[in-house]
Amino acid sequence: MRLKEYMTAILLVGSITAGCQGNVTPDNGDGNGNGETPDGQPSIPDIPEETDERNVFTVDFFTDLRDDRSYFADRDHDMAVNHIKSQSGNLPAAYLFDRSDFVTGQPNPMVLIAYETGYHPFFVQTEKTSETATKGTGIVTAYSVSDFDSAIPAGMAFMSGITIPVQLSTIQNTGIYTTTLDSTEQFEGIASLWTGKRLNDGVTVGKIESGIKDDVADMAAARYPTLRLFMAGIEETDYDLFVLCPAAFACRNFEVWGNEGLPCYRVYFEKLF
Amino acid sequence: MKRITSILAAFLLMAGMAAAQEISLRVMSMNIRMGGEYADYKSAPFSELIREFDPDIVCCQEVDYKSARNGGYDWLGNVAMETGMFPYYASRPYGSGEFGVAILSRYPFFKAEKIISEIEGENEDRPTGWIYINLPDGNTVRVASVHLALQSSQNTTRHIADINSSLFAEDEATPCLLVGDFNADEGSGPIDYATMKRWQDIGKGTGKTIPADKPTRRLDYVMGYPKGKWSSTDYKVISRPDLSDHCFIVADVVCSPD
Repeated sequence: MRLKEYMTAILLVGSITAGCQGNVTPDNGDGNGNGETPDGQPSIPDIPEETDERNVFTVDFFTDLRDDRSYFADRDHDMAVNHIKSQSGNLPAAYLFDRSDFVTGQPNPMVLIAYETGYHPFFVQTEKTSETATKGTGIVTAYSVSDFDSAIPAGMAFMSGITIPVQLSTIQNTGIYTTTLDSTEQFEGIASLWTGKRLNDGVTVGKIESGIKDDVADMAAARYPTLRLFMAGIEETDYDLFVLCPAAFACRNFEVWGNEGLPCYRVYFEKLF
Repeated sequence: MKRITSILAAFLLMAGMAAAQEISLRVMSMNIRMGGEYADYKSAPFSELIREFDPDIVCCQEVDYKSARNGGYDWLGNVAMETGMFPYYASRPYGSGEFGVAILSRYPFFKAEKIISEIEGENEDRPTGWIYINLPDGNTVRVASVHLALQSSQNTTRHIADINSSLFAEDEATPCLLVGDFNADEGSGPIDYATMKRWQDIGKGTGKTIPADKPTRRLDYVMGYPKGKWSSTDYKVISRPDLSDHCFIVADVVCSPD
């Protein structure tokens, strides 16, 4: 990230954080806990004001919030290795690297990072496979991965993710998925996976094309009131950060990292129930 | 987590990505013998061989991860870096490290699973791993790497049944390859069981695979599902006694649609 962008990101931290603490998808619940609004629409519980720190986990999402080049086009994977190795305390459950593209016949950055950190590498393609290079998001995690699961809903939004036993107040098998959204149709596809109960204990972290953000927010409010949607971004970028999860999770906070030229969002989740 | 496998085939069909045309792949099977013992546990000789044949998929068996005997070495990670392929490891704990089967893919895989079969009477639990690949031509194929139970013919058969039940529990639509060390001879009960209903022995009638210096038995196979849809245009048995007690297989396989 260039200095100007980096400064912008830092200045936006406050607003991003504030945006995250709310529920962008309007809560249609009446607060009586019966799971329905007076007009019969399904609802979800409000996010409690107090955070139970025992049930918080984080995901680091490395992204330029653009889609015109690989994240590692001008960066060495060693920067990511150093970042991961420098972490202490409650480590992120997973590290996601947007646009860590799969170039046929060349070692993928995730393979290199995983090798040097002792983590497990995965790659989520975000477009159809090409003979030469395929766009996508890499994942590395220290956890033992029980599943690397995937779906390609209508609209061709690729979404894949890992299921890992995250250490919270108890160990919880948690799915961490990623996707890139360029259309409202793709959002519908992803949202239908969650509302259809095909996925029920995990979160999606990815990026969304900025121009469709308002339409997606409207669609989420009108048609997917049982999901929690969060979006936040940097004005200069073509994409915004995108988080979608079922009622059992809340996105508590974002932090923007720009250190060492390695732009990154740290997303804080709480497992509510 | 509720798996989304059951809807996968439907989505693939919607996206026009399921097998609609002929699938062609070059697959390689490598039992590397106790984590690569013959090669002093180093990856480079294996990577050199893989590069020579330039396969789309490599299925490996007896792969160590940071075990005591290999000196804490990440064999698969090294092969992945040396070949430019993407790895998937299905393992079980092994001392201070791990042991199991692995798959290396030229193309991204969008889904991966593993099972660990506990077969009564076996000395060890046995992992099996598989991946789904969307090929550049739009077809989707599943590839599994196996290393079957060996204490008795019955155990080997039970192991095949266990793998079948997991592989086909939610997906009978996607063409699949089952590649590796079956620990069973051609014409034996386990191979007859495997090929009776589900699987086709694509390399039927090809050479023996063990011991590598003078093979007398065929234990390593490339099998295809659905049965009767697969053929091979080239099927090589590679003898490298400097690398393993098993011969390796390099097969150009084709799955033809209805």
